[in-house]
Amino acid sequence: MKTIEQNNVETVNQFIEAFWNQSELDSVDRFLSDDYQELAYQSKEGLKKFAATILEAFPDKRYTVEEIIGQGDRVLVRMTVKGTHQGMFFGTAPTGNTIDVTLYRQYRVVDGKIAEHRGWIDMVTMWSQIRGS
Amino acid sequence: MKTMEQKNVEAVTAFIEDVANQGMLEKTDQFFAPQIVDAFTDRRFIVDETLAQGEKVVARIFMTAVHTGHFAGNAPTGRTVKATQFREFRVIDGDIADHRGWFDTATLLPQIQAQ
Repeated sequence: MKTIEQNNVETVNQFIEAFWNQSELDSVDRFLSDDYQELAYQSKEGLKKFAATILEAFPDKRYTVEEIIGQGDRVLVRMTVKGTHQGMFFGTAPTGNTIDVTLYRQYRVVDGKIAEHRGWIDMVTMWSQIRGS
Repeated sequence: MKTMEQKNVEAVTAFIEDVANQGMLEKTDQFFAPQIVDAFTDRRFIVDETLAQGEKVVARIFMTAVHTGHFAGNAPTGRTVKATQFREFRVIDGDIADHRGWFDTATLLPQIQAQ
């Protein structure tokens, strides 16, 4: 018998793999709740749009979960994203440089569906790697 | 009766809010971390939220400070900023065994960029 936290962690891991790694953008329909609150990218559509931007800029991007903990309905993830800058990224033309950036995401999971998301990322490190400086 | 997680969160919160530990809270593995103490003055750390599971506690911390020096290509603005830091702790038998911190810069940069 799994605890609610274990189930929530599993849901978040599955979503990260399907959405961020396999780029199944429509997986939001099965993972996210109807009343989903997106606090990093404004909305479900904003989330999909951002993922598409990342995919275009870093077609080989790979997200790796390095730490994940659950407490109650909350799940916190520390992960890295690695990839090669091969497309436009917020006005910066492809440089061919590689990125390896840490980010944190916090989710709230209710009845097996992700109901809320917030995100934090180290943009100073990311821009420094993109510019190769 | 408190759970182990509750006791661990209390130990971590007391650690973060003890100014004697502030020097440790200012260190991270990020390449720019040494610039933080040069570019921001009057630094204060408060706990925003904690998550605990077993011996692990992750604290989301706010560092408030004044932007008085160059940081990541941005000239000093004199603005008061609020930076988020995550710090992950392992607590064993009530004692902090180790911890590692990480500054979020996505929310920091817009606060210090020229408008």
